[in-house]
Amino acid sequence: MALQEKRSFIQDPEPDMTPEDKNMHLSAKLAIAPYRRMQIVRIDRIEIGASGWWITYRTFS
Amino acid sequence: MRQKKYSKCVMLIILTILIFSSGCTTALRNKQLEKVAKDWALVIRASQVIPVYPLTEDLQPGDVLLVRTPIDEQVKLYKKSGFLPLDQHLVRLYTKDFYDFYNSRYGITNENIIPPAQWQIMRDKNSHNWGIAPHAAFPTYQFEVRTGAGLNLAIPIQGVPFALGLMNSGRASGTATIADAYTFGLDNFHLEKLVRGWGMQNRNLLRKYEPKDDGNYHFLRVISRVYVTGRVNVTLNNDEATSAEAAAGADRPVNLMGIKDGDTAQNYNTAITAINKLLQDQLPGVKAKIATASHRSVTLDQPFDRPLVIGYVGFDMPILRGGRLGAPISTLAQLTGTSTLPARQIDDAYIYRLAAVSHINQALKKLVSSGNEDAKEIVANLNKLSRLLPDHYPFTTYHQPSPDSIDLEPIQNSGSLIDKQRGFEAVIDYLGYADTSRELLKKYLSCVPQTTDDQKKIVNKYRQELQKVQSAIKELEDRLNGESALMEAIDFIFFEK
Repeated sequence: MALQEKRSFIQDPEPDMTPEDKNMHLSAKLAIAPYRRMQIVRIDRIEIGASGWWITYRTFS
Repeated sequence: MRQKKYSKCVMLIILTILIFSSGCTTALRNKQLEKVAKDWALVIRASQVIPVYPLTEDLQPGDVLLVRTPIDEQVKLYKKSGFLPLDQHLVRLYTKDFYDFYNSRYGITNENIIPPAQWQIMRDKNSHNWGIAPHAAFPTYQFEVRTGAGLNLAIPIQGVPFALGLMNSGRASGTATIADAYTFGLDNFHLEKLVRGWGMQNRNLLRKYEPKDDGNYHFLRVISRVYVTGRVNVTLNNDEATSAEAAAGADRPVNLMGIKDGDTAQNYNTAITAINKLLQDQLPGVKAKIATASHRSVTLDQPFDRPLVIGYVGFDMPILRGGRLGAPISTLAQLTGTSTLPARQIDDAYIYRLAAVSHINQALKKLVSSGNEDAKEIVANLNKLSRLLPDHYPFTTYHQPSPDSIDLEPIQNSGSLIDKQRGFEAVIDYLGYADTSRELLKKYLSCVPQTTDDQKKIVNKYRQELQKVQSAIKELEDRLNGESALMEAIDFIFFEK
């Protein structure tokens, strides 16, 4: 099995969230499946267009 | 000498017969008493109300009883006797919520008036204010009685034995009517809040009743509504008269001295007055009155000084580890084995609640790794919850692969095997996958265009997927609601044992 890098986008649940709320939402998402079980290698914040977090993870395919 | 021995023997036999016969009579009397008490309780129960026995004035919504008997024993007792003992009266909680609940009706004109106080106040010697309370009605109750059974213990009419004597009968059947019935109560939402507030302040007291190793729980039984009666009316029919004189023609009046020939109405009134005087003489202090009397039937009417509680409705809250209170369960549902109150659903904060559960599990694992024995037991109980999961995922889990598009991509297909060996982790995974899918499917369905046939097909497919996910979450949550392991874990992490 080859190791692959994949990306998933976690969109903010509401517009105009405070930085604290954005962080708390990401934290909650990372605490539950499927993100909890992902081997995450990078998290990026996107603010242009759709707002949310890019999660880059590694998986076997 | 021989004759003396013979007479001694006869005496012994007579004594033995007397002892055994009196024992039999007592046993029969007790059996009959229990039967009549049970019949009385069945009438109240038939109206979906839990009977109170003996009747009391001193029970009201906000009363909290500590139920010590295990629930299966209570069910047995309830089925056998028809009513439940009131057990330990732990606390009476007063609340000003009655004013809002009744919207200032029924004489509750300001929030400082807490019923039934305003209805119990006596206007004069013979009248109270219960007339303005919410009314209720009960069906009539039919029964059979015999003399010598101490019936005033079973039916709250003290004049029944007297009436049997009046008809010169040892056997009668009758009907009892619960008249002048009233009810009042408070909604479970406010009461539960009230009890929880009290419970938080009295954790040290409740902690004494936390579940022990035998697995039996103590419950707080919260009275939410009571039913009261101001008067009981009983009509007794002389069964001996009806069986022996079925073809005897007209009914005979009760035989009394001083009855003159001629004026029937006057004679009847005189007779009833004389009978009532006789009743007062024989049973001083008894309020029962004879309304009508003949050789075949007697009607008794017993008013109470103030209405008495005959039954109640309530809910039970289990006392969990650390003295914490569990979800409310309807007392009647608990006793009859029917469905219980569903737990409140909070969809909005789902992800945060789930994350909190995941963190609690993480905290427990840390405690176990540092050698905490109690934490080990809690984790073991949590891990057993994986048995509530299905064998395979009944839904597909999606993710959003790009911020520029709303398209969804599966990351785990429906039908994938659930690894139950992972214990509680598997439960968190299941709910986490389900919530992620639910959230993305809802978002997708709210903004996807449906112009072409292909798009409509996709929307249909995703709608079905959403239904599958929603029912999967509900099914597992319903199962988890009946378990105490999660509550115990929360207690363990946040509260001192």
